[in-house]
Amino acid sequence: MRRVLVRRAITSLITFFIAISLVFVISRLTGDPLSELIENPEVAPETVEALRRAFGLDKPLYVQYINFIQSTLVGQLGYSINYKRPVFDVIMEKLPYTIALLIPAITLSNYFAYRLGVESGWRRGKKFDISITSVSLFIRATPHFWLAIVLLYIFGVWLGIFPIFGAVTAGAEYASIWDWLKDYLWHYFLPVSVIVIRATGAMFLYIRNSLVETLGEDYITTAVAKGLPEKIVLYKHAARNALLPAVTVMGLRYAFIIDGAVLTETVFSYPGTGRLVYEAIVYRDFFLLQGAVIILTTSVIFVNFIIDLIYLYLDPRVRYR
Amino acid sequence: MSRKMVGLLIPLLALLLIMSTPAFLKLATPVRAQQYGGTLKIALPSEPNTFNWFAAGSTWSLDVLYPSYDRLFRWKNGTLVPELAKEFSVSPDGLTYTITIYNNVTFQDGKPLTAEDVAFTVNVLAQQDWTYYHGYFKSVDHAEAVDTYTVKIFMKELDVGFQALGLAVMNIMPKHIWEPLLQEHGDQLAVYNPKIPDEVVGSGPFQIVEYVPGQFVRYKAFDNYWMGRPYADELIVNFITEASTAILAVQKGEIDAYVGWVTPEVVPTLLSTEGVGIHIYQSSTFYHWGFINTRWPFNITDFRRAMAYCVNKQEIVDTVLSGWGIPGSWGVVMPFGPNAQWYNPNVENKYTFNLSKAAEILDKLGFKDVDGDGWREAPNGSDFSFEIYPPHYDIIRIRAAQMISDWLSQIPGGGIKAIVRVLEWKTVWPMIKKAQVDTYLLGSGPGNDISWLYRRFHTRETGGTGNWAHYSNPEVDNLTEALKTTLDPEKRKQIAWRIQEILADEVPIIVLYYRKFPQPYRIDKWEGWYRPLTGGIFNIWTLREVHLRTTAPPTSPTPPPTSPTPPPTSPSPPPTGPSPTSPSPTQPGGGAANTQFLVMLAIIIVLVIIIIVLLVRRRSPV
Repeated sequence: MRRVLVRRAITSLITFFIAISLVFVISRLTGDPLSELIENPEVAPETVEALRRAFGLDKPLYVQYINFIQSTLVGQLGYSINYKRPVFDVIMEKLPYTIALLIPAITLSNYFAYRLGVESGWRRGKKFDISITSVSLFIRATPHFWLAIVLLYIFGVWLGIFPIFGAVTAGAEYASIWDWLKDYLWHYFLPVSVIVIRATGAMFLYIRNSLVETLGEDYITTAVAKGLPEKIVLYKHAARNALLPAVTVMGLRYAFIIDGAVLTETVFSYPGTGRLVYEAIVYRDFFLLQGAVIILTTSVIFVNFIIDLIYLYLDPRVRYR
Repeated sequence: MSRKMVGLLIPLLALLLIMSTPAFLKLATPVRAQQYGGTLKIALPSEPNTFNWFAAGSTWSLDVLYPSYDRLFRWKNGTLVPELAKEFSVSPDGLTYTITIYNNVTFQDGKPLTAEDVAFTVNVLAQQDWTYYHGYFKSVDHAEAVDTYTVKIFMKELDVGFQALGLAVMNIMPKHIWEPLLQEHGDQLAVYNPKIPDEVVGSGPFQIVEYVPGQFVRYKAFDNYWMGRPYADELIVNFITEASTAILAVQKGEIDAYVGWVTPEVVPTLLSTEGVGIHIYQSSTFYHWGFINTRWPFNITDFRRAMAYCVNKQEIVDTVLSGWGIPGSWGVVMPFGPNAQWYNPNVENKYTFNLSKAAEILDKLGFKDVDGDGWREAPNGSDFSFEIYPPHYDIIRIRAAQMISDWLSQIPGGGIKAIVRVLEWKTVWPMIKKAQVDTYLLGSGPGNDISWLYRRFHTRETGGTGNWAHYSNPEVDNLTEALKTTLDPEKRKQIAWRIQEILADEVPIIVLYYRKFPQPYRIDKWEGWYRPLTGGIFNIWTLREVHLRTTAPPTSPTPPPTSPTPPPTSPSPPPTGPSPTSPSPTQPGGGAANTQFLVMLAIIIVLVIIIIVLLVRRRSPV
């Protein structure tokens, strides 16, 4: 067990190193982040050069790379070119919103997908299965932003029971933290619904098919033949095995949280890191992009570790090997 | 229902419960019917990057800081008007500016605004090369406060546009806050974000009190504003990233104005919404068909003239822009906005759409259809064609390019083959700079001082810096240089007129159109919006003057008539603004869009039900 952990740690470090080196190289291949300023008639060439110096972009690439690795090791993420502020501040302004939006949304959708998938797989070919499957196929084929705009229209404009933009009411004064929370949840409902609906539709099929496959196994027949109750066969024998391949996929969705949900964020004007990362790419904001990738890599490595632990729990074979 | 299903339903029920609690259903914004009061809500399409005005460059950062600061001068609907400047004089050699400012101006933290603050701001912009507007202050040597309210600015060299460009964009920053910051951070002030509210302090009508990242900025009215307190108690600037959401928010009345890009197609729907008005303003970006003047055959002036006869600007405006623009002028300088004072009307009708005239010129040049395939060949008899590159992201310019290509193909006696190529603009842009393409469609911004012609047409600016057309004419070189060094306004006008005559005669570029843009705003809650012909509705005069409507009862339960005629005190769209589409008066509320949407949704639901039923019926016998 300890040997596994040590090996894990070493490979994680190497992965981390390769990932941040790659983003360093790839972002610099896309061009010059100051190119838009060069074309701006309001900005003097001297200003562009001064900014280049301020961000250390005038140094040779290898020096930039060494500086980047050094500052990463001491936990410095540098300054965003576009925001002209420390990258850490820029990301931390948005990350709490994204975490608050995505962790419950992913958890809920994983749970819904799991329950629906198992129930649907068990009733394969029955009305329940067919209707749920068709709905989920429909949802899968629906673009995020379309679903978002439809919900916005129905609940925000027609019924008028939900706000149509923002994460809180702008400029509102709150008597207590509970008032704030109520206001926040009220704004939160539509964006989170969109993500839950979409993600459930996507994950559902995965679990259902995995379960259908498992149900064909001999040990299921044995379990049924032993006269075990239906619930035990389904959840203890079938679902647990069906979950194995799905756990990785479900788990990794947590790791990619910093990628956010660009489309949902945009439609609801919900602040989040999705749009931030998207804009970092568009504006070639190297340092912001590097900061985001460092966080992304760290969380992928961390989540992978957790997934391994879950495997240990789900699959005794892994435990005893 | 089986017990398994109960486990599934519990989270769903919990969500429904949250949804139906009273807190979710109430939304009350009390409205006081007085002159003073109310919260003005504006939406921008993006959040600001930084609150450090010295470093801020993005439009949205500048817009967010706009209500907090005052300037010495400001462009108001095409005229440079003094703001803080009470008296202003320039020495005869143009090297010393003496400005006296009003003596009753205070910053929002209570400290008086003096000549020291003005001198400090000028000096930072002149000496710190990382500041966004440093380019406008390059010719400044230094500024100093002569007494409490008089400041002198000394120039290194003559810079005629300094007042119109530099002084008109300069927010006066408080020295007592920024001098210590500059000493502490040095060059790193470029990446310093000042703290709200203590360090973001100006003398403008509204003071920033709260910023929630990605959400909104809240301002409160500055009680001691030197021009009198603004009427609105509060200003909130929201960031709505999706234009269609912003439009819905205006229709619902959740925001009072949207300062972002709105497609003209939604204007009828917006106008048919009660209480919503549309402000139409003229943008001065000149969208042009540019020729690389060094490439054959575009180095032949007559060939470019032939091209000029093949362009029907009015038709591009009428069809592609559906009336949302005005045709470009042959002398490039626009007849509106700050540049109107230098506009030469004599070149207005230099060329009219006339394909036979183009044919005549082309025949003379030797471009003739010798093999009878319907296309003109080059004078040496080889096949001839050229390319037009519009940017891939602008469908308007792509369509305009197709129209031009179409007209060229219709020239009597054989067309000219012009191929429209739509490539990723990042690929095309370097090719334009290196003169590797024939022609392109570009939108360029003019300056507020006519000396911008130097940047666009002087030989020295070729390629890299602004003269994308690679145009070179010694006389234009001399004249544009003279524009930068001549002080006498009458002489400058003569020079500008002469340049426009040459440009119209030699057609280095053809300006196709200047666009008009719509901005939706509420007319039922607020009145006193200032609506310049050439600018947006979010401006200092609106901020100072806008107040709660006192004439119409906005809380009346009977809905006002749906007709788009604005109430009497609200100005109708600017006189030059066309009303391209008249809204249908019978549509209530959000009319057309709602109905279409309903039908679409109904069809989709029906389809889904049919599919499910079919599937269930087919499988059930098994």
